[in-house]
Amino acid sequence: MGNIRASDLRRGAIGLVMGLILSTAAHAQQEVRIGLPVELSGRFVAFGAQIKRGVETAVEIWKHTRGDKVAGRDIVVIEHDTQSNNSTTVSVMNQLINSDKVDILIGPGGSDSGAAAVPSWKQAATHPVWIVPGVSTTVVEKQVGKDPYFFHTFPWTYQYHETIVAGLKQALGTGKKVAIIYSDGAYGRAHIEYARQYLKDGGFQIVDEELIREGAPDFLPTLLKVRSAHPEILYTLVQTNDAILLAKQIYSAKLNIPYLIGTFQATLPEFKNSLGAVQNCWTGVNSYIMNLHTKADQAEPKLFPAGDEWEAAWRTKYHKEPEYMEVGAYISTMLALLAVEHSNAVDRDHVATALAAQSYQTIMGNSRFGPSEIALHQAFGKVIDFQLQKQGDGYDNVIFYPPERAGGKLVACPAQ
Amino acid sequence: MTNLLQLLIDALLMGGLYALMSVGLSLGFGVVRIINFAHGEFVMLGAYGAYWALTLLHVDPLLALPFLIVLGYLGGWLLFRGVVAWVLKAPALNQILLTFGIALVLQHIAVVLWTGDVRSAMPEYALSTTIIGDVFVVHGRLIAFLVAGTLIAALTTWLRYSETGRAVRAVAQNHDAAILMGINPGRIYALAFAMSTALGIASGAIVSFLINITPFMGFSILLKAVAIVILGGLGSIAGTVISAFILAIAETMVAYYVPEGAGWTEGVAFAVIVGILLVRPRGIIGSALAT
Repeated sequence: MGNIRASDLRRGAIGLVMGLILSTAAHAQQEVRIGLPVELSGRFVAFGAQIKRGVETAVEIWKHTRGDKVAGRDIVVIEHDTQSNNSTTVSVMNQLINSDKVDILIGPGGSDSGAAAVPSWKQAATHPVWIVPGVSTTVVEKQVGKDPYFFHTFPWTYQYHETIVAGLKQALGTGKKVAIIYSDGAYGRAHIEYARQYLKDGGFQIVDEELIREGAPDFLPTLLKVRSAHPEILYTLVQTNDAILLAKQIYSAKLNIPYLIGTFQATLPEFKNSLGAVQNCWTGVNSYIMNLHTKADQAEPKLFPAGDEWEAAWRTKYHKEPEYMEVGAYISTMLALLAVEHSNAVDRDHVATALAAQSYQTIMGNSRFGPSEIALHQAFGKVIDFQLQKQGDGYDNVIFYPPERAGGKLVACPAQ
Repeated sequence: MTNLLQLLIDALLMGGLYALMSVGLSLGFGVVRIINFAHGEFVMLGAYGAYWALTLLHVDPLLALPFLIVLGYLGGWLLFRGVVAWVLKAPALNQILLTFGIALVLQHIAVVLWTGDVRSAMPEYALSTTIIGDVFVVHGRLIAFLVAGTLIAALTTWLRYSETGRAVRAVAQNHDAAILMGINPGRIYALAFAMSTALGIASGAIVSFLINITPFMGFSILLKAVAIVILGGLGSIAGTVISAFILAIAETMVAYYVPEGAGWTEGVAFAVIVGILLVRPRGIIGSALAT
């Protein structure tokens, strides 16, 4: 032992490190590494849980139908919890990109998390392909710009409001008085600009705008101000927990506003489960709701079966209805795996090119990516307006816009 | 004028709830001299207790309240004897870290057991309203106010007139003199901590039908309770009750009269903490910081 020199030790250590690096690299070449920066705790846990379930289901079905590998590579899913916290989201993105060396990112779901995730991704020397089945805020669209590796499988903010206002205009005509309540987070602030623009362009009269603090326990002072403005439409731009509490306090305050407009909250199970009769007549907007009766894809009927068949299989497996972000994550994962298979590669240029060229008939419609206002790749940007209406013992999503998909009409909330 | 009356009613009802949320924290600090950073999590556990009682057993949160208080008392006693008692003579930083750790553990247990989904207890009175002229009173808030008032009155009566209550006050006022009078401070500490926990659990049962229930609801409640206790004077029950109403009125008025004021309401609690520490660190009534 005494004869071993320092230089020998140094060479040995270098050799060991090189060996480890090479073996890791060789190992990584045999894998498709999918990273999930998702909200598995915190206030947006519903989004993260949905994305995780959608991705896991897609991988499971892929393995069941195609075998354990894609393009000869093992499928490895690495998930990290962003805790619905912006600074944790940054750490998680850095870890997935720089340490875990993922090939494809899927998630997160919430707008706040999405906005926090962009800088880490942009700053990475060779950032991986990033598919986002949530996040509506245009803050993210502006930040990613025309990056060719970013793929959005969800509507942007302006697509919500364009469709909501078109639906209101068709149902109610113009000139109605509107009060807007928006939250002070990234979500509310991103939405207010477009809501205001589309409402004004649509001929509506905005009589009041109220800001509320995310997570606040009491909205009654705000609702008093809204009541003083005597609106006919209350247009709310708030998320999840706030939307639930706001709906309850609107009900308690007996505002008697005929039309209660929301964005996506009315599709959330928490909204429906928490509110009982309070959910009645709230409207929502989304790219997916149950029973769209879509057809199976002709080329990949096992991966993208008919909507009814897929929804029935989901119900059998999970004993619950599929949520929109579960569907979006499922489709996003399938598109990623198909892109790897078709390009027979995991490098970002090949995968991005294959993704951009895809066209499948999915549960949410055609998957073809196209440009949005700023970004290069978006699919499923078209949305539908629906209203929660009492049907029997429960509340159904009645689509009232666009006309070709409408199953009913927008109705005024009953006076309390 | 109508709106001002409405705002005052809302603030009054909210103040009662704030008082109940904070009184337990104040009692715990006044006697044990530990700021319990897990107090918000006890509120959270109380809210889940009431929610599950309603959902699974169809027992109204108000009927479940006595049972939850007893459970909270027992849980608080065990927690004190098993964990907190070990750091009584440790530096304040250790005590803070311990209770903060307990808070995180409880929060994550709640996530594992019940997921992060938002829940609400919805008894019929939660959202029903009585309208008098142009003013409305939400029954849920009124009931919460009455229950909070009853519990605080019972606590105050017990502290003032019962032998054990007087012993608790004696330990809070002068630990050494209390020992000379034959009082066992270890027992009193455990009792006060258990009562503090029970009050937190009771607050949770009451807020279960007023706000959203999630595993993460505790921190914002703790923050508000800390602001109230600092404003009132650490360890002062009367000061805590007064400052709860001051904070509720301030928040409500800021939300209504300040442009975009609803966005600033949560900041009122922070402003109170900073302001009171700069101007009158003893709070309205208490003397804890001065000693």
